[in-house]
Amino acid sequence: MVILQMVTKSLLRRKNRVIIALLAMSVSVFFVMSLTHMKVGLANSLSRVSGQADLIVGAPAQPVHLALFGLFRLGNPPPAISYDYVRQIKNNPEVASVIPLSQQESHRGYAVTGTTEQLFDNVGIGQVFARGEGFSDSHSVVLGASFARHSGYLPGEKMTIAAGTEPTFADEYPEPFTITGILSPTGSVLDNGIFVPITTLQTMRGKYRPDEQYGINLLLVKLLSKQATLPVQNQIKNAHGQSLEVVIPAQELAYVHQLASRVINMVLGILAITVLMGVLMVFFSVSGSLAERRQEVQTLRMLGARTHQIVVISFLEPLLVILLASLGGFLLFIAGVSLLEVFGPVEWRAWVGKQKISINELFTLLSVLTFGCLMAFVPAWMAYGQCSDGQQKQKSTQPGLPAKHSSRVEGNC
Amino acid sequence: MDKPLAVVIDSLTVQLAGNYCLEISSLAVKQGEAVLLYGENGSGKTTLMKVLSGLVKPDAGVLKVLDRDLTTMTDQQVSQFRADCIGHVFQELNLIPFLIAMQNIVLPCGLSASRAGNAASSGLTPEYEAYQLMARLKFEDPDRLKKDADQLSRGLQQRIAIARALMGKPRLVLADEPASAMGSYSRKLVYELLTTWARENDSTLICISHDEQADVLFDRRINIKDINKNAELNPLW
Repeated sequence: MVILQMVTKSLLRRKNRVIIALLAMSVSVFFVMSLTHMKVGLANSLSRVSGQADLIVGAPAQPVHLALFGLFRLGNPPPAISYDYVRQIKNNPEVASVIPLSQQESHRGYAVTGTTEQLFDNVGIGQVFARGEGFSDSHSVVLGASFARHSGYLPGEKMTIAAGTEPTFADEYPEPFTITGILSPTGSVLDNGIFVPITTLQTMRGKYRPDEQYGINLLLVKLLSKQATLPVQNQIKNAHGQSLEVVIPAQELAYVHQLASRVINMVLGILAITVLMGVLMVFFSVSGSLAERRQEVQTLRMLGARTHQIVVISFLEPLLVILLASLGGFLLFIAGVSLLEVFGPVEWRAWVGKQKISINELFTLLSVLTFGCLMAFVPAWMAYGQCSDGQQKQKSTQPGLPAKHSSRVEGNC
Repeated sequence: MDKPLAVVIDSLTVQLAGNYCLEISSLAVKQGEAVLLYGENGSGKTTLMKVLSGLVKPDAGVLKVLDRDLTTMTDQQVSQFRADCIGHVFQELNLIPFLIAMQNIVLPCGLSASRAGNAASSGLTPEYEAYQLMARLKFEDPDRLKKDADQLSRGLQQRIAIARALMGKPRLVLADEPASAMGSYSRKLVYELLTTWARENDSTLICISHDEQADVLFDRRINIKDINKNAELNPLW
């Protein structure tokens, strides 16, 4: 009890320095945990979506661009290719399914994706539809979970679709679509999507926009066996020459992951240094001036405090600050991640969102705590030194003392 | 029947900074006795007090305090003994500056279960015992007891140091010029309290003072010059 009282009062006496150290360390812990979370979220997100397609086929473009757009809808849609490729690639005996994606229409600023029912088969979650069903009708529209929540649309309601990404009223197709289903949350880019049957879209394009060049932006290809990935990639390339780019998304995403991890690791290294600085700030702020601490230790010794009591007091002070800073950093991290789930950019929700706190973040926190505890031992060790080395060495400065006096020193403080 | 001895010293020598500052052939103080120690500056009074409380180790000789041989005890045992049995009013006061006055007074009870137990055996909480002691020292304003120790005047700090030394009824009280910063009325009050309190609790009191008005309150007066062979080696003499 008296030890806790001493610790809290001692900290309160140095409260300004302690508060600054506490804030600095909390923010450092927050950043380190957030970045670790981002790194883990990115890895999980990449491994989750890379299973959606074994191959991605599109117009000639950067392979990474095709992979990122195909799986995350990042970047501009690649140039359109003919719908005929769907049939041609589907004819390959190794191909299990071909899912076309066409993103050339919009609804009130939101991109509309023309696709097939098979897209929903690859969602990879238990219950595919939160409400309703898939493309039960030629004029069906299926909404992603986030879009449905934000727009307030419900199954049974009608919505119009217009050609282009910045359409006028004249660009709207006169045939409305009916919402038939809302997808369950997937934690992927599907959550923000509006999906309509590609066949209906093709018909309407021909009917209302006969003069314009439409097609599909890319194809997600699933194979019967992953071992056929390279042969099928070569077969498609050989069959269609320069007109198509065929990429293996797992390869491209691994490259993206490698690049991103390198950057994140570098930033993590810098942040680790800031944590180190934070811990050092805690050390110096709670240690106070050595003379000040020495006085306290001596007084306690004179009152009969045992060595272990003094060591515990000296250890608890920095430990308490480090624990509070870690807790503060952790709470900031939880609050930050929760806020980003709601208000963060779409990219965050697509890549890192819905990511639970993993063992990695907790391991990071534990590492900071362990390092902090080790640093907290320093003032405790110094106090122990003052206790065990109680024999204070003094040199006589008094003149005229008898020569028989030896120089041995035995004065306990 | 004679009371047992609280302090027994025989052929004790203590060196500090290479100088023999204490050389006492014999000293005995009975339990419950109130002893006034006086003498010139630098004659070894404070060092003797520190030797009695185990803060300074003797180089040779017999040193028994409250039936314990301090020369054979480990540092940890001496610390425990000091916390349990000795109340010490230091010349430099040695208050913890960041604790409030009340917390400083009850600090010995936090460091020693035995002292806390002594307070509890009287049916008092340590805080109530502290209030009682401060009331006897005419320091009754509870608000001032809530102030940090370093915000009080030197005279008030001395009262706090005295109350701290008496908390939990230690069996030996060592007071090193406990009233040096006080006026004559307060000095008288302090010496009266120390001697009366020691008699009430059958505690031994050894007090350093140069105050003549305190002489009559003590059972015995000892001039350090009479017991310490090296008292006159100080160049001030």
